[in-house]
Amino acid sequence: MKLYEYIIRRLILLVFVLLAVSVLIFYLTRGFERGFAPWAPYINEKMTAEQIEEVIKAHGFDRPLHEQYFYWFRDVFNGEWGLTGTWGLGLPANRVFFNRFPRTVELAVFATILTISIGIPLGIISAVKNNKLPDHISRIIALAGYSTPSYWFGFLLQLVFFYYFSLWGLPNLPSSGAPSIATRITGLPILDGLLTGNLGFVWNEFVHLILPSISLSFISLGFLARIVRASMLEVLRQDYITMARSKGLRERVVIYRHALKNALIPAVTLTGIFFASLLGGAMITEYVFSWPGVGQAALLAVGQGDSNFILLYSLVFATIIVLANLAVDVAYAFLDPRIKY
Amino acid sequence: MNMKGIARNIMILISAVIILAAGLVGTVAYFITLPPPAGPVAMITGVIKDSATNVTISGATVAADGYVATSGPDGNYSLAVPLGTYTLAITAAGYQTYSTTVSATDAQTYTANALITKTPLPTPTFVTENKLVYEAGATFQWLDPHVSYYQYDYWILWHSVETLMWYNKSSATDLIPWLASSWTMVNETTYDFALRQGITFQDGTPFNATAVWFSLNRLFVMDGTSGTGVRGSQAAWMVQQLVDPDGDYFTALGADPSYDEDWVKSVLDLNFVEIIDNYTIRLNLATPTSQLLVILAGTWAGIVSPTETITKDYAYHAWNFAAEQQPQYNLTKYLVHMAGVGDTYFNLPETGWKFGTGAYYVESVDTSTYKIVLKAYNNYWGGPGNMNLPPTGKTRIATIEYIYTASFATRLLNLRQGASTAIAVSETDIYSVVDRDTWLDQGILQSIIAGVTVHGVVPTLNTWWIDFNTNVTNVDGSYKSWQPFSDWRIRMAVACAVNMTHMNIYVNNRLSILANNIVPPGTFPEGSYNPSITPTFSFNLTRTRELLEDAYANPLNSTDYDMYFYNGTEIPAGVVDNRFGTAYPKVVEIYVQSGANTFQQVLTTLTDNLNLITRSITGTRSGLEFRVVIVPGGQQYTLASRHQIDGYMGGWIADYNHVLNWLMPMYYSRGTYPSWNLWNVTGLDDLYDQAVAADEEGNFTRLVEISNQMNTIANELVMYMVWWHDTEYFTRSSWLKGWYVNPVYGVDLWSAMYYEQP
Amino acid sequence: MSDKRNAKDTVLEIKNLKVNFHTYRGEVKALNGVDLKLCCKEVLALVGESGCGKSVTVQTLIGLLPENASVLEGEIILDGDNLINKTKEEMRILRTHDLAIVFQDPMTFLNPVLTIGTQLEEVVTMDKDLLVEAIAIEKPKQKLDFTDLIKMDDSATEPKNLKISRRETKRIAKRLCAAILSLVKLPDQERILKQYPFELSGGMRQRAMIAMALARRPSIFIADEITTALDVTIQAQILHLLKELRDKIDASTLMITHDLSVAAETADRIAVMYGGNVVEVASSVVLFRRPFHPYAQMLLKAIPNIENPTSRLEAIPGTVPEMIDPPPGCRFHPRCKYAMDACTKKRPRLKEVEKGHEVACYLY
Repeated sequence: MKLYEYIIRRLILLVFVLLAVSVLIFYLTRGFERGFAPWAPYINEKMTAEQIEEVIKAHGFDRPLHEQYFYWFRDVFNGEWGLTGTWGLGLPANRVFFNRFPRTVELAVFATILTISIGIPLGIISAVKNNKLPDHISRIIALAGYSTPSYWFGFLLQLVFFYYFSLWGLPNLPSSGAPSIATRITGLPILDGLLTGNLGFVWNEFVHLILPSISLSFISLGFLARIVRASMLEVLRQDYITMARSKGLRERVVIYRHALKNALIPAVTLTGIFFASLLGGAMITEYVFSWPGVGQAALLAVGQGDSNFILLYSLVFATIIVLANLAVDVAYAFLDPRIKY
Repeated sequence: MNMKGIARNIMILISAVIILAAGLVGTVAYFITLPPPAGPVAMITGVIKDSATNVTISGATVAADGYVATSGPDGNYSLAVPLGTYTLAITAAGYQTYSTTVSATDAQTYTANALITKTPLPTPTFVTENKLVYEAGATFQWLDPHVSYYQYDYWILWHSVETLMWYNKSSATDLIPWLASSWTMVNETTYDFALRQGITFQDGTPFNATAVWFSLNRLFVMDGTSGTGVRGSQAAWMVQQLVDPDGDYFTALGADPSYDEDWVKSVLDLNFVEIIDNYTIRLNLATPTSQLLVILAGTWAGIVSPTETITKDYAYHAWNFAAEQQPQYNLTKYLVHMAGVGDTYFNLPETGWKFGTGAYYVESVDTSTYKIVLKAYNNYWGGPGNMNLPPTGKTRIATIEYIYTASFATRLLNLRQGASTAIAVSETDIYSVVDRDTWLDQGILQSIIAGVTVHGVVPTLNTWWIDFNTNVTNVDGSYKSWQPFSDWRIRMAVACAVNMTHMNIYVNNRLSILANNIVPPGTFPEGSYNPSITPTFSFNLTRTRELLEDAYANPLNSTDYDMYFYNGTEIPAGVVDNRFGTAYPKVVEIYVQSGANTFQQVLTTLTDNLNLITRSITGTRSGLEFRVVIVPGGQQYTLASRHQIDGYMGGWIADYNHVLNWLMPMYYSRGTYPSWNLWNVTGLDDLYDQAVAADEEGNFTRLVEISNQMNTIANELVMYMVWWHDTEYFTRSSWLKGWYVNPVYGVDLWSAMYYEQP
Repeated sequence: MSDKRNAKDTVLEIKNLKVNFHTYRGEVKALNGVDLKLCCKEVLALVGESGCGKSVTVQTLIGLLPENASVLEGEIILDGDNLINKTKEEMRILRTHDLAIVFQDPMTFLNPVLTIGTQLEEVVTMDKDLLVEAIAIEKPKQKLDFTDLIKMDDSATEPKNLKISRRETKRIAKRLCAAILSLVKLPDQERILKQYPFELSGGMRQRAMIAMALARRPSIFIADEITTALDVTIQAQILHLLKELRDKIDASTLMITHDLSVAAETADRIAVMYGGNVVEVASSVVLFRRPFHPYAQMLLKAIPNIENPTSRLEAIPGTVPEMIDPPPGCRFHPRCKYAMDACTKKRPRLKEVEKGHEVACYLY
């Protein structure tokens, strides 16, 4: 009972957060006449003065800011997010956004899976074999991970696995881009491929995902491993671990049943937030690998001052973050029975 | 004391040091070459040449047991070795190693020439797949030829949609009948076009007069202004101006149409395209002009298949196809639907289209990656004399892919690896693909990537300049009292304040041709590009100083001098006051777009030079300060259109290749185009009217004369500080043969190209 | 495994156990030659101050010494085997059957995120024999009586090799858990099994820990300061429980405590430790009446006497010896008022001075 109340309270807070974010972004993108001309994506140098004024009027950019906000808000309620200038002028912003969002989801999911499946075992090994060779190796890997700048690492991966591999005659991974699929059922390309039985496409998509996912996860698995290591070490020092061992349980059972559940709580937080932030689109990685996700689109939109797209993107991202935080907090309640809302 | 631990750490440290040292020694040993020998020596000399071309090769390395020599610019090398027998190894970048044995047993000179063979390039995947992959750094905008107005869009569309007239291969001025087989001028406002027979659209339907009538009227009714994207076409005005000189019908020309059925009927009644018979049409103009043919050669006038267009657009908009277009197609009904509409299926054709007559049809467009796939149209008619197909015996490229890859580093990698045939390289990245010294010193584009040729440079129809503005207003709309560029002296002072030749080479990487006046090379008619009409300014800081000192001592104002508003009325006394100095600190702002790094650098040098001079004139820095203001492009256009900027970096790219497309926007105060600088030069207006008259008569000699006069006047006034005309270079795989480019829009067309081992 | 041997037989013998800890500050000589004998079915209390080595002895006994500790010398004989020589895995198996230990603070020694039921079940399901025997004797609608199972625990009989399905295992394990919990007098077993440690009171948690120990049907039952963390009334309950269970559990108990009164309450014999050595061993009656070792004497004098409330408490002068650089010879000699020259040279060994009463002191 309490849990439902808690969730509902948080969701109500979400509404306020979204309102605040929308006002702030609105002001930042449209409020400064000298800084950001919000009609910029809609005009070009070949237009006459009258045409420019007409564009401004057509989008309501000459109205006072709070009026603009009100109209924007009303439109959004009707599902109209306005036109974006970023990708083919005149496309509805939400169409562009939701065309690209599934690919960001794919990348986020893969990168998170990689991060978890490497980062957590790395942290556990570090803690269990504390100060021995496996610990040192995994700490070096973790350190390398989060010291690496993402744009450099991405390019390095391309260089090695795409360029040099083909130079050496080895089968190479593609450097960038993503394959196309004709049918769209769920919107998620891999899922659609599986549903239509187009396994060649699924494989192709997967192959294109490998390098960007590695690039993304390499950096964060370092953080995760460190956190897991620290909390595992903490847990392994606890008395109940001695108790478990004294019961004669196998070491593996001690670690995975007794220690891990306690140690994973901070790791769950980190993973949840990491996944949520990836859903906003890892801009740099998407840029380097030309991965057609929302990050790339947002990067372009910001560069051009495309306020409609930026608003949509910010609000979606804010929602994702708030929901992710909520999900993580709720997960706590399931992981740690001592927590009650 | 944890002895075990300490001991172990020390061991690790020692082994690390040993490994590092070993690595160092190994590296050094690898690079060590022996010093020249003492004692009795033999000389080995020779010439190294390319086995295929017999061209001498410089910079090749000749090695014999640690003794090394390099071949000089003439291909000769000379190596001194102690007596003995040696195996010479000759290596050069891009070549296979060549070895030969020399018995240098006596102290004399031995000859060992070498013909070395180029390493054959591995066949790139795109060749085996007969596919052309182009990677761009930007996406397309609209793929409907009747909507778009963007160079990149046109380039893609040119492979798929064709026009009545077209350019003769790489000529910018030689227009030939393309989909038309011939034309005759019946009278000065009437032209008859005979259409080629036997051509089919990619969907199989025949190309005929109905298709021409349909396509051009579709362009008309879509109408629209640039950029809102919701409405219409952005380039329609260019054809519309031929039938609606007074702007009664079309919005870009000044009208406010209702876009209802009556309006569509009235547009159709203009009878621009009159169907004489199945393969003959008559074009009825409102006023005579010589620009008709060149306008018909633009992609906006692309001819499309009515059936494919109607089918796809009906499906896209969910109009009632069965009721309105069956059992027969009703083109007018479709056109009524399309009145004022810019949102068509063809802007983003997910499942492709087959509505052109061109060599390739669009197979698909991926709406998330924005990748476009074109496939060869097997029934393509080939162009006049098959000029748009590869020579006989050569295979046409079967697929073309346009891919968006934002990161230049990735594009370059893809090109090197052979994943892409051609990539977009920006001006600033030029030295990633060509050798810098060869380019700057000799003007030759030498590719530094194996298997890649860099073609160019090709001039384009554009010019860049500083736009000096008069009649500047404040943000609140009031007239500014400080009108710096109304003063010729200040204009000339600015124009003389930077060395454009130097800038063009060292800041602009030599990628432009210095401009003498606003008309670029290749403009029609021949002679309108006239480099002998030179600017009246040149780099001369002394002159700048003199002029500014004079402007300081005798400032311009509306009281003592006659000054005029844009509409011709005299400016009353006291409105304009150009005094500057410590008592009247003034700022001159020159705007430039963010991202235009080259311009920014040149402008910064310019303003730095100016500020040094003004500072010593007024005694303080703020007396008269020149500033460069960087704003986003949209911002700049807006402020310029509202006449709120003193000066800005501007330019013009020709819409179509005709000198009137330069004279009108740049010099004519009553034109459709932005007269953002608000100059009102009566002489120029009169001359423009005469130019139009000359053009209507077809008197191109006279037209050129007038153009020369106009340019002379503008140069004397220093109306613009003309900088340069851009040139383009093209980074393409060496496997791509038969390469040529049409400089009108500076893009290459691939239908006539083919792959072959370089 | 319950013990069918007679009382008076030695079940567990620790001989001259020396254990060192390696730290950055130096070698901590924690155990300096501990001698101890545990007889069958008896309750032996091991008393001493904090830091005297009681817990280290126990850790060594069950094989859970920390990484930086090493056994220098000595033997621990259980059933004829020297536990020192056993591998980690062998010790683990011993812990599943023969050695059971209950720890001090049930709040920290129970895993907070697992239910009592989970933590108890994992012990139960490790013992195949237990499951099989439980299935054999179970009757529907009747609660299992764990004491029966304890009696059945017979190392002499053949290990049974029946396969039990997972569902069966789960089912019988649940019944077993309920049975064990009722053995330790916990009411409402079904509910408790589903609860988490923090939902129980201190006394209930301690009972649960005892249950987990007894579930193994051990032959050696070790209680490491199990009442220290409890308040006095609960303490009394637990001690009462232990007394009750004593006959049922069929094991020899080693009771570690620093509280002499607890030792007096529950133990048959008491061993006093000081500075890493056992200095005196006697039956509890004898020890209280007539302690021989000076340390033991002073300990007893330090206990407040409820019958004589106004008498002075005598504190023992000096402090516990520092284990890195302990005093040579007898470690008590700096604080002993009877210290002699011989005490500083060589450590005195345990000597039987009268029947059932051993002392390690040169006075005797």
